[in-house]
Amino acid sequence: MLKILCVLVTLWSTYLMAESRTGQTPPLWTSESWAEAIKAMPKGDVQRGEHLDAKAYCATCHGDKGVAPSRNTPSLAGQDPLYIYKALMDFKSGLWHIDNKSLGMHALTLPMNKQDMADLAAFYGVQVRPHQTNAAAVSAPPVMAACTTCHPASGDAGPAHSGPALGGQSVYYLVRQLNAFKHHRRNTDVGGLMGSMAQMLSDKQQEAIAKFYAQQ
Amino acid sequence: MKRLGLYGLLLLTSHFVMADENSFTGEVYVNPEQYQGDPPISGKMAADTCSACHGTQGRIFNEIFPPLAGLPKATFIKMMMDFKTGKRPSFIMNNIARTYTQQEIERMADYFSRQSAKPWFVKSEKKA
Amino acid sequence: MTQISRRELLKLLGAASIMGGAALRPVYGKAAAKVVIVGGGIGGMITAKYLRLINQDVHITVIEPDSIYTFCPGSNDVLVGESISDFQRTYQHSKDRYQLQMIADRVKDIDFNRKQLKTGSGKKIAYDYLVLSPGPGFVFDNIAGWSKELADSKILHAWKAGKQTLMLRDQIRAMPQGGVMVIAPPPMPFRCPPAPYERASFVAEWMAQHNPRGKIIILDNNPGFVFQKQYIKYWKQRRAYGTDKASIEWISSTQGGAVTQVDARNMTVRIQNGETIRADVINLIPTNTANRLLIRTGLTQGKDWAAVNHHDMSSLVQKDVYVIGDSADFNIKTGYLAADQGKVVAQAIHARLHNQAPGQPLYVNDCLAKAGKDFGMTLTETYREREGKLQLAQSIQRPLSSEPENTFMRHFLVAAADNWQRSFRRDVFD
Repeated sequence: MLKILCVLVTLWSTYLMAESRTGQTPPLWTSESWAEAIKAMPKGDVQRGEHLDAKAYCATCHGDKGVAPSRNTPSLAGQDPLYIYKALMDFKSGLWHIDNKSLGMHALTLPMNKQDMADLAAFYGVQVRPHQTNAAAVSAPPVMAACTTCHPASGDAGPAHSGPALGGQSVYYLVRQLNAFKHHRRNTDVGGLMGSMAQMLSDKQQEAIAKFYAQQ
Repeated sequence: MKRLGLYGLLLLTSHFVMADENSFTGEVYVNPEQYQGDPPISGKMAADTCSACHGTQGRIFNEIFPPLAGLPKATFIKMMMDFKTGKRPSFIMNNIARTYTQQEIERMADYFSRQSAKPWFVKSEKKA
Repeated sequence: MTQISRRELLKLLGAASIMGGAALRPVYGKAAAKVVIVGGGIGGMITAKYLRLINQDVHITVIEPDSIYTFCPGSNDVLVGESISDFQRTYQHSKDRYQLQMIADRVKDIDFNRKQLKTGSGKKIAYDYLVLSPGPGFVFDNIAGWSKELADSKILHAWKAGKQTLMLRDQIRAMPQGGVMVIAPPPMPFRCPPAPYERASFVAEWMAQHNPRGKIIILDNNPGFVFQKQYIKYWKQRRAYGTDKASIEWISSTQGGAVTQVDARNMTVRIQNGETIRADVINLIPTNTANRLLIRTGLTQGKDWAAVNHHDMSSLVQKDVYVIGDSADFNIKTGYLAADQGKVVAQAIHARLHNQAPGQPLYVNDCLAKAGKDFGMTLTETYREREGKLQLAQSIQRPLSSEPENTFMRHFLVAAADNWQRSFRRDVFD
């Protein structure tokens, strides 16, 4: 059942890709270019970030203080600010383009400069990350050993900004992203690491991993 | 309140009917509760007014407009009522939610909760 | 097979096929009604699809002469470079999935007593219920010097997306540097009220890049227009509106802007205040009325539009006839509303086939329009019905003039407008 859903979602996204119009693809991240970008990141201001969050109506999809009200959108609360900053840059450049939802984020990031992005990142960074309290306990699948270096089993962000926090995201969202990495529709990963990791995962494994992180 | 700003103020004054010097740009708002005595609009009839954006039976996925099909009744009602009262600010949905009565929202919730959560099937042909 | 078991079977079949995404397989009873829909546009195709989704025991025929449909929503984007194929669909998919009989023909006459249509090729088609959604009729002879022939060749309207859209695009591209384009909206009501101004706004944006000294003059039959405050504000910010450097000028009907005469050879128009304006591209949008078929068959009773009962969009003149879209008497004419009307009619016919009264309708017009690549707008408009008549229950535009400038909203609503068009095309044709 879920497999069919995944296939449908995949087909569907392919179709959406075909209809999208982002024009030129920006260059992929290398560890060198990413190190440069980190150096150039302005210091974020939480208060300005809160103001921007209200002005851009982020809460419509990402919820109050970054806790998403639906499975479609990721929660941003408690996320590694560097990841948020990068995500916003990737939406603006068009590198993060999976489907038409990306076009919404692309439109919203067009008016943002780097300072705005850093401010928003700082604001979400200080919020409390959501935890799924009512989910049935799922144990970590063996294949997850490969993930935990950058995405600790606690669900928090990886050490030294190695990976974003995955805890508390919806299963639906996590599977969607894994699929996007797997099929190279999301190419925002530095050095193509997530793409090659996701390649190795079966649908069942993706599902198990997503279920585990969702409940953290 | 402060967060909602001017627009929030406008949302809170829900009974206004404004005339404008120019009929093309004037704002009209009749509180839908005034139509409560009319014959009820079915959940499907009301829900069908959403499908141009949210897809047939609310089954478009991964777009700016999220799918509505298969949403638990309570979730849909809470979202729409939060949009309607302005508690959840949105560029588009506040005015749309205000057009329906609470009973209509409940009937729509009932309709959408009974629709398949599967995406409306993937198009088999690519244009002409 | 008894009526009940057959219906149950249908229900099962129908449910299974909707889930699986396969074609809906109707099982027609002997007494299955014949619903004939004239016009394969938004109104017609929505009616066909939404009727089939709730009823597998009805024959549905759509009569449409063209083999490719071009959506009007979004077609202004084609004028400035988008590919027209993004906005086009064939009928094959709807035909297969919703088991429609598609007839590529034109309706010539309707015999309401015999409940029969006559087509251009001489075919006779019987109906139990007739849905008319043939688009608007265009009037050319109220502008001296204009004709249908000129409208098809040189003084274009591009008010039915397709061939003319591409021709007008080419005319805009061929304009000399510093050239002038005239856009002349007809008197309200006409198909898609913001579209002439959106068109002007898009072309001005395109000109800023490709023809920086070019100019657009809107010669209006109306004193004002929808989203006027937002457009004017945007034009002041971006197009030096109101100054002598303006790339858009708007002459309202109160300033005598209505076009009275066109000279296609010298490329000039004369307007009501006596001025003569020379232009390189003249885009006259004809006065809209009900489609000529409805005028010819008496459904308009000498008026501009076909009178309908807004409870179910049924004709007030002939029995078992429904009129939707551009031809119907409805305050505003948009694709969104045509779709709403089609959904109402599908439910009304379904109800009547089950000897029930049609349910209470609701008409919502949630319009998303653009002024440029960085400025989107939205209008929420709702009509309720009481005793067969429409009541405007809501009409609110955003961004509101009272709310502070919000660049995020402007940008987001552009993406939302594009997204709406994509979703809408799927709601109509998938």
